[in-house]
Amino acid sequence: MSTTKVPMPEASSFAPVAPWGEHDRDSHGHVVQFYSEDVTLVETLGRFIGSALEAGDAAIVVATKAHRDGLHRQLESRGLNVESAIEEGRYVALDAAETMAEIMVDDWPDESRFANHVGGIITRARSAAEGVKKSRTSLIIEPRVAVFGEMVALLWADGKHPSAIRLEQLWNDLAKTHSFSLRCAYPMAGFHRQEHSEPFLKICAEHSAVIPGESYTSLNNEADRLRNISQLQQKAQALDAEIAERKEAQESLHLRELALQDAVQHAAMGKLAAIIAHEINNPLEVIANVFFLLRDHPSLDEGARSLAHIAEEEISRVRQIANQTLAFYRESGKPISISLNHVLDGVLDIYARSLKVNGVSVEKKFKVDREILGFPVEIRQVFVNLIGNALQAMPEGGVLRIGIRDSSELVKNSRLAGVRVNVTDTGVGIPAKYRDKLFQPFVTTRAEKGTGLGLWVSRGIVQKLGGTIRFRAGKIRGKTITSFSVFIPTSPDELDRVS
Amino acid sequence: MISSRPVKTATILCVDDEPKALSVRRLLLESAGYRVATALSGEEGIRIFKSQAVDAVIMDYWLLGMDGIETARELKRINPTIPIIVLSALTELPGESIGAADRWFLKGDDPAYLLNAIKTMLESRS
Repeated sequence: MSTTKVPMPEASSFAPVAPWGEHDRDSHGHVVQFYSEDVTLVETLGRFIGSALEAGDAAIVVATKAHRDGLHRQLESRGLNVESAIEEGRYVALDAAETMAEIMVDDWPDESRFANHVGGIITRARSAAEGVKKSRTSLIIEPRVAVFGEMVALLWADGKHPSAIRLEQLWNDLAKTHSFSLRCAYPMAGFHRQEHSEPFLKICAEHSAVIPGESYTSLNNEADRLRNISQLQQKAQALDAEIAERKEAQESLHLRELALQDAVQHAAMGKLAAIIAHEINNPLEVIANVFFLLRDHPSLDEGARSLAHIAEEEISRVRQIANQTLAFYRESGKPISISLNHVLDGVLDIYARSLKVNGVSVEKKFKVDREILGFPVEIRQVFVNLIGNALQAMPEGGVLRIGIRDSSELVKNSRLAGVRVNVTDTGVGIPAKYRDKLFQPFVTTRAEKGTGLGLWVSRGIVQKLGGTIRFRAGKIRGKTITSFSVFIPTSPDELDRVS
Repeated sequence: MISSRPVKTATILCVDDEPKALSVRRLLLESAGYRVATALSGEEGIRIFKSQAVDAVIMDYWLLGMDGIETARELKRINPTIPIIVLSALTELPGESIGAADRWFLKGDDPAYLLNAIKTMLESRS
């Protein structure tokens, strides 16, 4: 819709053209006409071709049968003897599709075929006109040749836009060796899409003059035309704005669709999770109880008890995987207000013994005590995973830092106030090859000991709360530092959304 | 209906429609020194509860017929102080079940948690 200056074709031998309104009488140039109604085209062609034939000049029409027939009638209504002009050889009417077949190779206009075929027709028609003129007068008057070509319009209608533009260029090239005046025509209906704007400009650029559609050319005076231009500019402006609005609406709709798909998928997964949880946990309870009873069963010797202990540990792993995965899709209950400090203290209590055994010292920096809205089991799960990972990374001891502070973050284009928890360790670090996919399911650095679900589940929980979870790695004074930063919004809007 | 027996000899009523799960749970509780009464449905559990002294109830959530929460509500109506634990294979109970039972446990969790909870609940009553 933007206005772009249309360049004129280069190195053309076409004569300079008169202002647009004069084109019907102008016999020079390479002019393109846009039209809405066939009758308009045929009328203007009648004037263009008719005036050439009336002057004893040559005319070549390469058009569809309907247009040829219409033009024929139009010429006859002007009192022209068309049959006689054809017999004289100065009026040549050719079928556009058949002529196109002569010049195309593999759906592309062939330069030499075009030059030979069309150039030959022009030369012959020109000679014929020359003969007729000589027979009419003793004066030497150079005959002119008026050509109407519609092959480009057929190519355009077939969607072969580059071929159409190429053919326009070949006409321009031919004008360097042959003198003729050319008229091309395209139905305006072929340019109804936004993506037609650029090729439309290219077509205009290949012509020395452009005749706009009837809505413009039918206007009688300059004032009406200027008014028409203003109206068109206003329409273009309004269309530009509407396109932008629609694009925005489409994007918004697309995002909503994605969110809906996500919600539907989540609900379906929730149902599936409930069924799987039920089917796994029921037998798991029986097995767990049986092995618990076997722990101290008097009939078992030490070896059998040891095997029972291994089985119990493995059951614990199954339980962990099942609940980590399935709890993620839990959909029942309402979120409640939870103190993050209490959650972190509780998780540190769980790991107190392991931390001590591994020689890990804990540095707590709880700068604030904020409450967030969520499910206690889920929030605890996030920090059980993060602190558990940190502990696993420090088998030879180290420092575990837990920081809680007020923070804010840009989430989905709005800055939200919230609370940030940093869990940092001085352990072995995370190998570079895992860093890009840390939050993907089944990614673990701990071989068969890890489930590979902890961080994936944690991220899901944090995202459900409208927050983010990030990972950073670095070295400080030669020590590897691994840090996870969890941001959970506390701003009222977000809390409403979560509930 | 309220027993004054010491914790170790307390009677636990277990309700579950899965006989295998019920028999193993009975063994678990007996190994911890409790007396155990079992019922295969909520209705049967209520009959037993009315007919004998029971100190605590462990109830499956997903029972055929009268479900665990309905049964727990009925038992609480009969005796509001009776400790009730609901076991569920689902990762969390729906909101309406809150208040019907005193505690709920995920099936498959370490049995030690369940035994500790029973012990604590009975001690706090005695």
